[in-house]
Amino acid sequence: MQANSTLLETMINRLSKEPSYLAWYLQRYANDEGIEFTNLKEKLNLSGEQFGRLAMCKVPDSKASDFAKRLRTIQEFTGVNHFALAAIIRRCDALISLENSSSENYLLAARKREETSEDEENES
Amino acid sequence: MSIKLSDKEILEKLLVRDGMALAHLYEAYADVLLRYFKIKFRTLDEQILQACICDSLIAFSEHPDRYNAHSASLKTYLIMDIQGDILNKLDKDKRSRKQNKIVALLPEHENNSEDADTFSLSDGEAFYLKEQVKGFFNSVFSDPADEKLAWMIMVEKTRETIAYTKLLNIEHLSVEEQQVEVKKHKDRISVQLRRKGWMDFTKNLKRNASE
Repeated sequence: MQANSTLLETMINRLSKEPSYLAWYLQRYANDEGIEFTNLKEKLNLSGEQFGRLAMCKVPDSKASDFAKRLRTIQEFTGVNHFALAAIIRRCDALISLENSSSENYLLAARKREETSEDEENES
Repeated sequence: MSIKLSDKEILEKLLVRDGMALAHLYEAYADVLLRYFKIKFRTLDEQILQACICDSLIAFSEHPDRYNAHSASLKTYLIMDIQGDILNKLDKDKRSRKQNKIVALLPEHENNSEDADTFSLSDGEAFYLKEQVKGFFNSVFSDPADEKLAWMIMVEKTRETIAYTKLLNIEHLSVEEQQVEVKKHKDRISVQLRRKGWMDFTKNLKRNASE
Protein backbone atom coordinates (compact mmCIF):
# COMPACT_ATOMS: atom_id res chain seq x y z
CA MET A 1 0.00 0.00 0.00
CA GLN A 2 1.37 3.43 -0.95
CA ALA A 3 1.91 6.08 1.68
CA ASN A 4 -0.92 8.59 2.07
CA SER A 5 -3.56 6.27 0.58
CA THR A 6 -7.02 7.72 0.64
CA LEU A 7 -9.53 6.06 2.94
CA LEU A 8 -11.26 4.45 -0.04
CA GLU A 9 -7.97 3.00 -1.30
CA THR A 10 -7.27 1.65 2.18
CA MET A 11 -10.70 0.01 2.32
CA ILE A 12 -10.34 -1.53 -1.15
CA ASN A 13 -6.88 -2.78 -0.31
CA ARG A 14 -8.14 -4.30 2.94
CA LEU A 15 -11.07 -6.03 1.20
CA SER A 16 -8.82 -7.36 -1.56
CA LYS A 17 -7.63 -9.88 1.05
CA GLU A 18 -11.17 -11.12 1.79
CA PRO A 19 -12.42 -13.73 -0.73
CA SER A 20 -16.08 -13.02 0.00
CA TYR A 21 -15.83 -9.49 -1.42
CA LEU A 22 -15.63 -8.39 -5.05
CA ALA A 23 -12.39 -6.53 -4.22
CA TRP A 24 -10.69 -9.92 -3.94
CA TYR A 25 -12.09 -11.05 -7.29
CA LEU A 26 -11.10 -7.79 -8.97
CA GLN A 27 -7.57 -8.09 -7.57
CA ARG A 28 -7.38 -11.70 -8.73
CA TYR A 29 -8.65 -10.77 -12.18
CA ALA A 30 -6.17 -7.89 -12.47
CA ASN A 31 -3.29 -10.21 -11.45
CA ASP A 32 -4.37 -12.77 -14.00
CA GLU A 33 -4.70 -10.20 -16.76
CA GLY A 34 -1.37 -8.65 -15.86
CA ILE A 35 -2.83 -5.21 -15.31
CA GLU A 36 -2.47 -2.85 -12.38
CA PHE A 37 -5.34 -3.09 -9.98
CA THR A 38 -5.77 0.67 -10.08
CA ASN A 39 -6.14 0.57 -13.88
CA LEU A 40 -9.00 -1.87 -13.67
CA LYS A 41 -11.51 0.90 -13.04
CA GLU A 42 -10.67 2.47 -16.40
CA LYS A 43 -11.08 -0.90 -18.06
CA LEU A 44 -14.52 -1.21 -16.43
CA ASN A 45 -15.34 2.42 -17.23
CA LEU A 46 -15.98 3.36 -13.62
CA SER A 47 -15.17 6.39 -11.51
CA GLY A 48 -13.10 5.96 -8.36
CA GLU A 49 -16.22 6.12 -6.23
CA GLN A 50 -18.08 3.57 -8.36
CA PHE A 51 -15.11 1.23 -8.30
CA GLY A 52 -15.00 1.54 -4.52
CA ARG A 53 -18.66 0.64 -4.24
CA LEU A 54 -18.10 -2.35 -6.48
CA ALA A 55 -15.14 -3.53 -4.43
CA MET A 56 -17.22 -3.35 -1.25
CA CYS A 57 -19.96 -5.60 -2.61
CA LYS A 58 -20.15 -9.22 -1.60
CA VAL A 59 -19.54 -11.70 -4.40
CA PRO A 60 -22.79 -13.19 -5.75
CA ASP A 61 -22.76 -16.96 -6.16
CA SER A 62 -22.32 -17.73 -9.85
CA LYS A 63 -24.09 -21.08 -9.38
CA ALA A 64 -27.17 -19.59 -7.70
CA SER A 65 -30.42 -19.26 -9.63
CA ASP A 66 -30.62 -15.53 -8.90
CA PHE A 67 -27.07 -14.81 -10.09
CA ALA A 68 -28.21 -12.71 -13.05
CA LYS A 69 -30.62 -10.74 -10.86
CA ARG A 70 -27.87 -10.00 -8.32
CA LEU A 71 -25.56 -8.86 -11.08
CA ARG A 72 -28.15 -6.41 -12.35
CA THR A 73 -28.66 -5.06 -8.83
CA ILE A 74 -24.91 -4.50 -8.53
CA GLN A 75 -24.97 -2.80 -11.93
CA GLU A 76 -27.67 -0.39 -10.75
CA PHE A 77 -25.75 0.33 -7.59
CA THR A 78 -22.27 0.73 -9.03
CA GLY A 79 -22.61 1.40 -12.75
CA VAL A 80 -20.53 -1.62 -13.75
CA ASN A 81 -21.64 -3.50 -16.83
CA HIS A 82 -23.19 -6.73 -15.54
CA PHE A 83 -21.84 -8.80 -18.45
CA ALA A 84 -18.30 -7.61 -17.69
CA LEU A 85 -18.78 -8.38 -14.02
CA ALA A 86 -20.19 -11.84 -14.78
CA ALA A 87 -17.15 -12.57 -16.92
CA ILE A 88 -14.79 -11.52 -14.10
CA ILE A 89 -16.59 -13.65 -11.50
CA ARG A 90 -16.84 -16.72 -13.73
CA ARG A 91 -13.20 -16.40 -14.78
CA CYS A 92 -12.01 -16.24 -11.15
CA ASP A 93 -14.30 -19.10 -10.11
CA ALA A 94 -12.89 -21.21 -12.93
CA LEU A 95 -9.31 -20.42 -11.89
CA ILE A 96 -10.05 -21.32 -8.28
CA SER A 97 -11.73 -24.54 -9.36
CA LEU A 98 -8.77 -25.43 -11.55
CA GLU A 99 -6.30 -24.76 -8.74
CA ASN A 100 -8.28 -26.91 -6.32
CA SER A 101 -8.62 -29.72 -8.83
CA SER A 102 -4.91 -29.52 -9.76
CA SER A 103 -3.85 -29.95 -6.16
CA GLU A 104 -6.24 -32.89 -5.74
CA ASN A 105 -4.90 -34.53 -8.93
CA TYR A 106 -1.34 -34.00 -7.72
CA LEU A 107 -2.10 -35.77 -4.45
CA LEU A 108 -3.84 -38.58 -6.30
CA ALA A 109 -0.86 -39.03 -8.66
CA ALA A 110 1.56 -38.99 -5.75
CA ARG A 111 -0.45 -41.65 -3.96
CA LYS A 112 -0.56 -43.83 -7.10
CA ARG A 113 3.22 -43.51 -7.52
CA GLU A 114 3.72 -44.62 -3.93
CA GLU A 115 1.46 -47.65 -4.36
CA THR A 116 3.20 -48.61 -7.61
CA SER A 117 6.68 -48.47 -6.07
CA GLU A 118 5.46 -50.51 -3.04
CA ASP A 119 4.07 -53.18 -5.41
CA GLU A 120 7.37 -53.31 -7.30
CA GLU A 121 9.32 -53.75 -4.07
CA ASN A 122 7.05 -56.59 -2.94
CA GLU A 123 7.46 -58.39 -6.30
CA SER A 124 11.25 -58.21 -6.18
CA MET B 1 -24.75 9.45 -7.49
CA SER B 2 -24.80 8.15 -3.92
CA ILE B 3 -27.96 8.14 -1.86
CA LYS B 4 -27.21 7.98 1.86
CA LEU B 5 -29.47 5.62 3.73
CA SER B 6 -30.73 6.18 7.25
CA ASP B 7 -29.23 4.22 10.15
CA LYS B 8 -32.36 2.10 10.28
CA GLU B 9 -32.12 1.25 6.58
CA ILE B 10 -28.42 0.45 6.83
CA LEU B 11 -29.00 -1.82 9.83
CA GLU B 12 -31.80 -3.63 8.06
CA LYS B 13 -29.55 -4.31 5.09
CA LEU B 14 -26.74 -5.50 7.35
CA LEU B 15 -29.01 -7.81 9.31
CA VAL B 16 -30.40 -9.47 6.16
CA ARG B 17 -26.82 -9.79 4.80
CA ASP B 18 -27.52 -7.57 1.82
CA GLY B 19 -24.49 -7.78 -0.50
CA MET B 20 -24.16 -4.00 -0.72
CA ALA B 21 -24.65 -3.21 2.96
CA LEU B 22 -20.98 -2.47 3.66
CA ALA B 23 -20.88 0.02 0.81
CA HIS B 24 -23.89 1.83 2.28
CA LEU B 25 -22.33 1.83 5.73
CA TYR B 26 -19.08 3.16 4.30
CA GLU B 27 -20.80 5.95 2.40
CA ALA B 28 -22.80 7.00 5.41
CA TYR B 29 -19.97 7.09 7.91
CA ALA B 30 -16.44 6.65 6.61
CA ASP B 31 -15.62 10.30 5.89
CA VAL B 32 -17.36 11.57 9.00
CA LEU B 33 -15.41 9.14 11.14
CA LEU B 34 -12.11 10.02 9.52
CA ARG B 35 -12.69 13.74 10.06
CA TYR B 36 -13.63 13.10 13.69
CA PHE B 37 -10.55 11.01 14.45
CA LYS B 38 -8.13 13.26 12.59
CA ILE B 39 -9.15 16.01 15.00
CA LYS B 40 -9.15 13.78 18.06
CA PHE B 41 -5.79 12.16 17.29
CA ARG B 42 -4.06 15.03 15.53
CA THR B 43 -0.53 13.70 15.80
CA LEU B 44 -1.32 10.14 14.86
CA ASP B 45 -0.37 8.78 11.44
CA GLU B 46 -3.49 8.95 9.28
CA GLN B 47 -2.81 5.50 7.86
CA ILE B 48 -3.39 4.04 11.33
CA LEU B 49 -6.69 5.89 11.62
CA GLN B 50 -7.76 4.69 8.20
CA ALA B 51 -6.86 1.08 9.01
CA CYS B 52 -8.82 1.16 12.27
CA ILE B 53 -11.86 2.73 10.60
CA CYS B 54 -11.88 0.19 7.78
CA ASP B 55 -11.40 -2.78 10.10
CA SER B 56 -14.18 -1.56 12.34
CA LEU B 57 -16.64 -1.00 9.50
CA ILE B 58 -15.92 -4.42 8.04
CA ALA B 59 -16.21 -6.14 11.42
CA PHE B 60 -19.48 -4.34 12.16
CA SER B 61 -20.91 -5.30 8.77
CA GLU B 62 -20.12 -8.94 9.56
CA HIS B 63 -21.65 -8.77 13.08
CA PRO B 64 -24.36 -6.10 13.13
CA ASP B 65 -26.27 -8.04 15.80
CA ARG B 66 -23.72 -6.82 18.36
CA TYR B 67 -25.15 -3.33 18.15
CA ASN B 68 -28.05 -2.35 20.38
CA ALA B 69 -29.91 0.63 18.92
CA HIS B 70 -31.41 1.44 22.32
CA SER B 71 -28.07 1.96 24.03
CA ALA B 72 -26.41 4.41 21.61
CA SER B 73 -26.68 5.91 18.16
CA LEU B 74 -24.89 4.04 15.39
CA LYS B 75 -22.41 6.87 15.01
CA THR B 76 -21.56 6.79 18.73
CA TYR B 77 -21.22 3.01 18.65
CA LEU B 78 -18.82 3.14 15.72
CA ILE B 79 -16.80 5.95 17.29
CA MET B 80 -16.42 4.01 20.56
CA ASP B 81 -15.46 0.85 18.70
CA ILE B 82 -12.86 2.55 16.53
CA GLN B 83 -11.49 4.58 19.43
CA GLY B 84 -10.98 1.36 21.38
CA ASP B 85 -9.00 -0.08 18.48
CA ILE B 86 -6.87 3.04 18.12
CA LEU B 87 -6.09 3.16 21.83
CA ASN B 88 -5.20 -0.55 21.86
CA LYS B 89 -2.86 0.02 18.94
CA LEU B 90 -1.26 3.04 20.64
CA ASP B 91 -0.87 1.08 23.87
CA LYS B 92 0.72 -1.81 22.03
CA ASP B 93 3.12 0.53 20.20
CA LYS B 94 3.97 2.34 23.42
CA ARG B 95 4.72 -0.93 25.20
CA SER B 96 6.76 -2.07 22.23
CA ARG B 97 8.81 1.19 22.21
CA LYS B 98 9.22 1.16 25.97
CA GLN B 99 10.32 -2.43 25.90
CA ASN B 100 12.92 -1.69 23.29
CA LYS B 101 14.66 0.74 25.61
CA ILE B 102 17.85 -0.33 27.29
CA VAL B 103 16.48 -1.33 30.65
CA ALA B 104 13.44 -3.14 29.25
CA LEU B 105 14.63 -5.60 26.61
CA LEU B 106 12.49 -8.42 25.37
CA PRO B 107 13.88 -11.75 24.10
CA GLU B 108 12.20 -11.19 20.74
CA HIS B 109 11.12 -7.83 19.50
CA GLU B 110 10.13 -6.13 16.24
CA ASN B 111 12.60 -4.07 14.31
CA ASN B 112 11.92 -0.49 15.32
CA SER B 113 14.18 1.18 12.80
CA GLU B 114 11.46 3.76 12.02
CA ASP B 115 11.08 4.66 15.69
CA ALA B 116 12.23 8.18 16.44
CA ASP B 117 12.84 7.33 20.10
CA THR B 118 16.44 8.14 21.18
CA PHE B 119 16.87 4.73 22.75
CA SER B 120 15.49 2.80 19.83
CA LEU B 121 17.80 -0.13 19.16
CA SER B 122 18.64 -2.32 16.24
CA ASP B 123 18.24 -6.06 16.67
CA GLY B 124 21.99 -6.48 17.10
CA GLU B 125 22.28 -3.72 19.69
CA ALA B 126 19.32 -5.06 21.63
CA PHE B 127 20.77 -8.55 21.66
CA TYR B 128 24.15 -7.26 22.90
CA LEU B 129 22.55 -5.20 25.66
CA LYS B 130 20.29 -8.08 26.66
CA GLU B 131 23.38 -10.23 27.09
CA GLN B 132 25.00 -7.49 29.21
CA VAL B 133 22.01 -7.38 31.55
CA LYS B 134 21.86 -11.17 31.76
CA GLY B 135 25.54 -11.22 32.59
CA PHE B 136 25.04 -8.69 35.39
CA PHE B 137 22.23 -10.73 36.93
CA ASN B 138 24.35 -13.86 36.64
CA SER B 139 27.13 -12.16 38.62
CA VAL B 140 24.73 -11.07 41.38
CA PHE B 141 22.57 -14.19 41.86
CA SER B 142 23.71 -17.77 42.29
CA ASP B 143 20.16 -19.10 42.00
CA PRO B 144 18.81 -19.15 38.39
CA ALA B 145 15.31 -18.59 39.80
CA ASP B 146 16.51 -15.28 41.27
CA GLU B 147 17.98 -14.32 37.89
CA LYS B 148 14.62 -15.02 36.29
CA LEU B 149 12.87 -12.98 39.00
CA ALA B 150 15.23 -10.07 38.46
CA TRP B 151 14.51 -10.20 34.72
CA MET B 152 10.76 -10.15 35.30
CA ILE B 153 10.96 -7.30 37.83
CA MET B 154 13.59 -5.06 36.25
CA VAL B 155 13.36 -5.73 32.52
CA GLU B 156 9.86 -6.96 31.70
CA LYS B 157 8.34 -4.89 34.53
CA THR B 158 5.83 -7.67 35.21
CA ARG B 159 3.30 -6.37 37.74
CA GLU B 160 0.76 -9.14 38.11
CA THR B 161 1.26 -11.34 41.19
CA ILE B 162 0.01 -14.40 39.34
CA ALA B 163 3.00 -14.26 36.96
CA TYR B 164 5.34 -14.85 39.92
CA THR B 165 3.45 -17.53 41.81
CA LYS B 166 4.58 -20.47 39.72
CA LEU B 167 8.23 -19.42 39.78
CA LEU B 168 8.12 -18.95 43.55
CA ASN B 169 6.15 -22.15 44.08
CA ILE B 170 3.42 -20.41 46.07
CA GLU B 171 0.39 -21.35 44.04
CA HIS B 172 -1.06 -23.21 47.03
CA LEU B 173 -1.29 -19.98 49.07
CA SER B 174 -4.28 -17.67 49.20
CA VAL B 175 -4.26 -14.60 46.98
CA GLU B 176 -3.41 -12.28 49.89
CA GLU B 177 -0.57 -14.54 51.05
CA GLN B 178 0.74 -14.74 47.49
CA GLN B 179 0.79 -10.95 47.25
CA VAL B 180 2.75 -10.69 50.50
CA GLU B 181 5.27 -13.31 49.39
CA VAL B 182 5.74 -11.79 45.95
CA LYS B 183 6.36 -8.36 47.46
CA LYS B 184 8.93 -9.83 49.85
CA HIS B 185 10.84 -11.42 46.98
CA LYS B 186 10.59 -8.31 44.80
CA ASP B 187 12.03 -6.21 47.62
CA ARG B 188 14.78 -8.77 48.27
CA ILE B 189 15.81 -8.81 44.60
CA SER B 190 15.72 -5.00 44.32
CA VAL B 191 17.88 -4.55 47.44
CA GLN B 192 20.42 -7.09 46.24
CA LEU B 193 20.68 -5.45 42.82
CA ARG B 194 21.05 -1.99 44.32
CA ARG B 195 23.84 -3.22 46.61
CA LYS B 196 25.67 -4.73 43.66
CA GLY B 197 25.58 -1.50 41.63
CA TRP B 198 22.50 -1.89 39.41
CA MET B 199 21.94 1.90 39.18
CA ASP B 200 25.49 2.59 37.94
CA PHE B 201 25.28 -0.36 35.59
CA THR B 202 22.12 0.95 33.89
CA LYS B 203 23.53 4.51 33.73
CA ASN B 204 26.57 3.15 31.88
CA LEU B 205 24.38 1.13 29.55
CA LYS B 206 22.33 4.21 28.65
CA ARG B 207 25.43 6.28 28.10
CA ASN B 208 27.01 3.64 25.87
CA ALA B 209 23.86 3.09 23.84
CA SER B 210 23.26 6.77 23.17
CA GLU B 211 26.82 7.35 21.91
